[in-house]
Amino acid sequence: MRRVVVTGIGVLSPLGNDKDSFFAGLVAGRSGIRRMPPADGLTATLAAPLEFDGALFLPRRQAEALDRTTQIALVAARQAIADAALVVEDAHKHRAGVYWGTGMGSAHTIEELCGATLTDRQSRVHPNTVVKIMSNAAAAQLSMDFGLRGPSLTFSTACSSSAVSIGEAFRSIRYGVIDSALAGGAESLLTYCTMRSWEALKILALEDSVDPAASCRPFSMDRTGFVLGEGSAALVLEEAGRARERGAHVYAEIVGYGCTTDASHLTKPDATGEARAMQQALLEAELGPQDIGYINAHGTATPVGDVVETEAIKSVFGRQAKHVPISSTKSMHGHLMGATGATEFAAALLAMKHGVAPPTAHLRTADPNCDLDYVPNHARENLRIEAVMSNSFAFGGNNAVLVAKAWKE
Amino acid sequence: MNTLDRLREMLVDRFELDSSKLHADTDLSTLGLDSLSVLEFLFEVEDEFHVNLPDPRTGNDAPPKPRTLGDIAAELEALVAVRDSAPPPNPPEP
Repeated sequence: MRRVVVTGIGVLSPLGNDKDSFFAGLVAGRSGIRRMPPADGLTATLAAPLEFDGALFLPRRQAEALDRTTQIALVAARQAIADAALVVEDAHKHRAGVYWGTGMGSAHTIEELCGATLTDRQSRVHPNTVVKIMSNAAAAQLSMDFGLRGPSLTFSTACSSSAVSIGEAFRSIRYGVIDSALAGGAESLLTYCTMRSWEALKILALEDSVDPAASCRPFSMDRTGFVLGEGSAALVLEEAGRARERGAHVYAEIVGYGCTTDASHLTKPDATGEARAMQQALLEAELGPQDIGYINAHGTATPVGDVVETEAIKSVFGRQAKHVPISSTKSMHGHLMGATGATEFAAALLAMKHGVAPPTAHLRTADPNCDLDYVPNHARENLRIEAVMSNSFAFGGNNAVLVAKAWKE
Repeated sequence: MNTLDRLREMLVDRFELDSSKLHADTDLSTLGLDSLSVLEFLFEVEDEFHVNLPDPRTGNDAPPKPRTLGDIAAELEALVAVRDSAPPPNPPEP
């Protein structure tokens, strides 16, 4: 069986616009969550926005022609390609693919279109609106930007979109469909209408009266939900032999991917479906619970979700469950939706590389129903992490789990 | 600056074309631009002149004829003239 390695990482996150500041922020327990300017009719006050201006990263006309989601996809992808020092030769471009995730796609352009046509009754719509909005806009742009002529695919499974995109890219390389891939996801949906629709679900964190940045508290007794964020994360995946031949730096080997669907409820998480995804990933990885040195949890800080994930981890890890450091980094970068799976998987890979488990920030009060080791409030350093797991569970019932291990020849 | 010159300037700015090859009888479809780029250019032209260019396909059963820069300039000048001769909107009722 062919082996698949990660050779490049690019991250635009509410904690910083590169992988190093992102991970340093996580280790420091810094929160990118903040109070947003008030807007009429909007009761949600919090978000984890990017500090990102497309015009500073891209030529003016290109920035104008791309939705913000595609802009951040492109910038993270460029970082990943540069980090991997990857040059895909012409003869090989048809063996390189783009596997990209997004939950909503081009939220900003959709909202501008609706405002311009429904509210302002403008007589004209810009001719590039369709290609700016289409769900595969980012994947198409990435393919063109890097000349990748293998499959260019878009995965939209809500909160697990970019875990699925990485998992599917991993499989495609493993089974010989392609040799390398740009995989990840992007989401930028901090728009008025989207925020209104999320707040209607009564699932967003209430603002902490003392410290708004501490409003998302996964696994804590006083948790009230998550905070919407925006971000993008891209990985370069390569068949290990090719990466070795060109002398690439290897972060880790992807060894397992589990993907299941609850098929029971649109929003209610299901421990059985989550557990099956974890089991599948471990089975493919040929690893046991004792091999996993860190889990990046889905951990959305909803009252139900964190308990269900805890149950699912216990059912898979058994007695080992209490001994694995687990954290939800959403406490710091917010819920990045279609980008969250890739961002958190990147966090897990960096945790393994540095031997540091980032904390679950703001875990103030233990919840007896969430009784595992969630690395509360302070990063744990000097760990020897040989393998990691990253969980992503989505609306629609999709569960995606990725497992990676330290690279050994 | 006349309308044609402004169109030439906009084409050069947007697509980095050689201005010496842009004349009144230059057909837009001969400039090597894809159809989306042409639409985007015309959208910008509408912004610039504050008019709406009609869809050349409407009212025609036959495919639209080639559009030269001179055709577009003439169309724009006619639209601007109509716009400028229109009476100002009625003041709102007190």
